[in-house]
Amino acid sequence: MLKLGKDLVAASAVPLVLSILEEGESYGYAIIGRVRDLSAGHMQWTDGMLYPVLHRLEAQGAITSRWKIAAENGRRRKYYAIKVQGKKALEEHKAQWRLVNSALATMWG
Amino acid sequence: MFDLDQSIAAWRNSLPEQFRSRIQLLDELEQHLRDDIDRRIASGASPAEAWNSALTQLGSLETLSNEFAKLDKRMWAPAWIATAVLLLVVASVGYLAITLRRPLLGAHVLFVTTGYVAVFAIGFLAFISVLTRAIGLSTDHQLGAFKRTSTRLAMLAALTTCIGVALGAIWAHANLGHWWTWDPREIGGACVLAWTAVLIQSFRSRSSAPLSLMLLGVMGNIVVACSWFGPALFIQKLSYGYTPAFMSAILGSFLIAQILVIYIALLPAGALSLQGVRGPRVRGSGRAAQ
Repeated sequence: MLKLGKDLVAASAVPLVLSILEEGESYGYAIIGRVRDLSAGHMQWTDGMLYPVLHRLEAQGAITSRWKIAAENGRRRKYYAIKVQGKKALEEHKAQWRLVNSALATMWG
Repeated sequence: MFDLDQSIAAWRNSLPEQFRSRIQLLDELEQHLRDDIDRRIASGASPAEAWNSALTQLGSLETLSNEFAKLDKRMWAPAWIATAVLLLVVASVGYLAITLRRPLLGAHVLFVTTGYVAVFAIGFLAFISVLTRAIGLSTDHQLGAFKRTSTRLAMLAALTTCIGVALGAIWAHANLGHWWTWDPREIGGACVLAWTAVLIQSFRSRSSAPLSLMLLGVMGNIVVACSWFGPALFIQKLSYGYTPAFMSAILGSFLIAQILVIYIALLPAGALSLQGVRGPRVRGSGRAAQ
């Protein structure tokens, strides 16, 4: 299995989280599962490290959170949703990553 | 026989001190663990195996704690406002004290005012905390900032009020021939000083619940308001040029407002939210987050 470097995983965390939340509100465990699915298991986060990212984004006003009861098991979970500011930040991330992707694609053919 | 609830309770109790005050984060991590355990058990693992694997996957709590410590360094906006207002009042009163041309009395007024306003600043932070809790927007960062800032303000209030009361006694001895006469202002100063001691003890205690600290902060408003402006109701020369009836109306309105804030504080977390957001009462742990 291809192992991604720690710095690359860290750099991609914010755009990944914002992109997942752009699909709809979600909670920590589901976000980690979605990242695992999206990367076909190549991106393995240490679960706990997602939460500082979520809390930082919330403090920056990019996302918001609320506690609600999950329909499937009746448990209270903290759900996160993207805000307008988060969508703007995501657009910037997309532009930056496309630029990097384009530059590398050009170099490597 | 493995008991998940007991294991989670033991896990929460074994966490380092820096995690204990992060009640919402702990609730969130607990839910994460429960989700992970459910998935592992559904995949065929035993509950004990699922618990151990989920804990390992969660990662090092020390690293996690360090990451959250970085987040804590951000200042909380109401703390900025409280600090700025306090500095403004101190600068204004300091200027007035200089114009008094009576250094001892001027210093007494400056120190006592600084102490009283610092307690009001704690009350303001408590009021904001009560409101954010009531509308379900309370965060660990905000609660931590409230506790840290209020602890510093309480220490400042205790120190300056103590110095101010002592200077007042020295001034009274030099000008009136006595140190202490149980004048309403002196009693008020003593009450505020005693209350700052209560605040320091409570805010520095590891076992104080956030809601208790909010209530103490709001009650500080009542103590200072009564100590500062209460004497004006009985002694005309202390009424700052206003009639006792006017002072009574202002003080009474302020006290009623504080009682209203205390009432809001005693509502369940999120009770005033328009979105039906509730504080994290975690199933299985049997207690509210705040």
